Amino acid sequence: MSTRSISVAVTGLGIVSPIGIGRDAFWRALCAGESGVRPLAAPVPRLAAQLPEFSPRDFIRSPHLRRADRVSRSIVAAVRMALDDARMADAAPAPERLGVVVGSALANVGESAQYLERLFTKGPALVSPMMFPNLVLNAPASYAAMEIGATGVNLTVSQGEVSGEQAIALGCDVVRAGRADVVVAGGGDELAEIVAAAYRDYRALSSQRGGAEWCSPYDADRNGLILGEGAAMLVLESAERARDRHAPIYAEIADYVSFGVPAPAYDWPARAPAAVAGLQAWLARCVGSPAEGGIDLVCGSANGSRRLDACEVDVLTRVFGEAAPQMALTSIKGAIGEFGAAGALAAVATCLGLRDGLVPPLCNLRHPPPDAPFHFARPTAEHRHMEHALMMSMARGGNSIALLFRCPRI
Amino acid sequence: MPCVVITGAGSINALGAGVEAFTEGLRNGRCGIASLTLFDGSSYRSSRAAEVRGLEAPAWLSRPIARRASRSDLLVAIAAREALAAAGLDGDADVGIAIGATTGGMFGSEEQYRRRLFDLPPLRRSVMAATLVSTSADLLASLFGCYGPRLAVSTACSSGGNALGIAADWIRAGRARAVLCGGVDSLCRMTFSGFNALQALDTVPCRPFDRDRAGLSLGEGAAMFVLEEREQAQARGATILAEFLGYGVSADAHHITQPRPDGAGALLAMQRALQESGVAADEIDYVNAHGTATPLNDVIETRALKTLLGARAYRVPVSSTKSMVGHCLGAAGAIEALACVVAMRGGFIPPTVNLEHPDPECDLDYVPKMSRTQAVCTVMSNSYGFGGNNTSVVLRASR
Repeated sequence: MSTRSISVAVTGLGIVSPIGIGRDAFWRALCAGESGVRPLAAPVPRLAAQLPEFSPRDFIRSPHLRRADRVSRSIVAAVRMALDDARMADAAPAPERLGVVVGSALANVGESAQYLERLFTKGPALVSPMMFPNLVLNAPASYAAMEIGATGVNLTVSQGEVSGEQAIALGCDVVRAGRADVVVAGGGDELAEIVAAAYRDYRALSSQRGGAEWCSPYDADRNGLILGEGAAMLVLESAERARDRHAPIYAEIADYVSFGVPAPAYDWPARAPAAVAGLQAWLARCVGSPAEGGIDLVCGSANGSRRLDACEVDVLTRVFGEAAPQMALTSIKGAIGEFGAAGALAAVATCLGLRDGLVPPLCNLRHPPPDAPFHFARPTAEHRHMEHALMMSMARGGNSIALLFRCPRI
Repeated sequence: MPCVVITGAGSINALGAGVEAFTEGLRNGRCGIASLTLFDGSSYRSSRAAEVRGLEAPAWLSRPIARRASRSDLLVAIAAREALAAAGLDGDADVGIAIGATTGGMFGSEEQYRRRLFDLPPLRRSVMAATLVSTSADLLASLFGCYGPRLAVSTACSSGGNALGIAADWIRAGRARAVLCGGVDSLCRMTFSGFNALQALDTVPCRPFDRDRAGLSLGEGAAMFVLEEREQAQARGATILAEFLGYGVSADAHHITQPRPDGAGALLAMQRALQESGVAADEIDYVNAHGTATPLNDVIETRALKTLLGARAYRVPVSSTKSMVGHCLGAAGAIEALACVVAMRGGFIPPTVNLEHPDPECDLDYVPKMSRTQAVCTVMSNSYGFGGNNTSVVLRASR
């Protein structure tokens, strides 16, 4: 148990998002209540939060990345931004003590579809040997290692809509177990027609349920999710190392808990009562009884889906009981859409929120759910004194994870 | 540091279903690589593969699950059930799941995609949803009621080894009472055509460390384990199959497909695994090599082993069980860790079959053609993946 008491510091942030490239652009747009959801030219999906045009070359230096795919370039750009932001200079770790952990549900899914199309229409002799290696899920993490010369731990995890959170949690474990001094952890995913088709098969898209097409997490009138894309990476190191090198610390990650709840196949559960006791016990160990108000902000994974958002509100209401009205609840998916690594972008928002004392807003929220006793910041960010923020997320299939962030202890 | 032990194992691959079939296959040096039947292989350079023949949903799977399960789902469920039964842990909610996988439900979803392209009647809608590698982990959770931490790790061909390492870390950190962990991958046209395009497939069953080796043979399968803390295992009277001593991970940071020529990444992973295990290089008495039979891998791995083991390298048996079960990609690390467990329990070294002509650059003792009766106590298993991912695990016989 000893290593779980080691606090992990977040000392660098890099982000490529539908509402802005880079930490400051993203944060400014998010706090102003902007949404990246726009109509697309393609028929499926009709609306999505797409990345704006940007030049990865502004960030990527390695010539080895000339053949890298679109997701890899987004992720590596975020890695580079995060590492630059952490200003290691003299305190840079040895290459073998620098690790990379990437979370991605599907990584280079757009080219996977193109590859299959070529395979089936032209035959195996005409598929590109250059393309195939880029389709492997860990291609982004490998390119990231090449870009920053990281010969340490290199891992890729894929866990549906909580891939980003799981990568950050695993990154914390790598730091705590002493497997690396510094880990760049987060994730990325891309929008593709084939992904939209898969969500459409399960009637998860906002456009399929009638009413206006929009993405409004927690809203009483929500009617489904809207897909997005992006990448975000966090520089993680032990809080002790960060303080020794006098690094600015955005936030510390105190601990995480990962668990499953019974869920229907390929869907979110409608309720998850089994999650409550475990979360309460874990929070009690970390910050004291949740009903006594140790947590100031919850950044959830709600995406506008009828099921997920209701389940999340139900679990949180039970976990926090009387403390709920003093807590802010938010989700940034109205701004960035839903995708495998969305949680990595939410983690960036959580860190910046703690740093600036700002609650990231629910940009589209019109009618807060009547059964949710929490405070909702909308349509723009609200100032609030905050010490502890909880990220709580759930993927289709019931895989769940909660990460506890806190203001740095000086 | 709590001692992590293996109390259950399950297996399915080209040598058959069950740990016993795997043991006998390895002992007899049976090569499971044959002509591809899963899909038409005639337009590929090679149509050899180590297939799991006659794979069907077992009777104990409910009809709805059997109908939606991908080929990977079936493989991993069969192996997981055997592992849980061996450990006597069925129905414990505080069990985590960590699987290594790269193809997920691709075998079904690529067919769905093909049908869409040619306007053919589609398969069930769930086929696309099962593409994600994590859906296999989700399925195991609901099948066996395991609601601890859950993770699918996908680091190409080192995925299985990393899944075991992460599971061991969870046990050590007290995140779960036990972890169901391992690796799974099924054959599919996407990976087959990819390795085919890279000219990485041999036209005959792969020949690791052979002078004439010309690439790998793809395989499929799953190996699953139950890991838990030793004192707990002893207290509940479980049979301890082996100790999981430690693992080491590194990245080449060199090239998207080619390993670093100097083998520094492979060496670092092995050194880290030994260090974490508290084992000296002198104590290793068997190495289950990555041994893909590609011209580059086998030379570089040999070189790294010589650096690690010094003059003793020539006396340590090193074999590639991929010569029998093919390269099972995300499952390889787990299948090969199981080959190590089987070797320790059975008192024999699994051979490198198909090795006919020694290569002057690969001059270690690769246990060619036939298994060797020999006591094995401390072993290392290497797994190297695309993108320069290196993982080594160290296991020890239970005392």
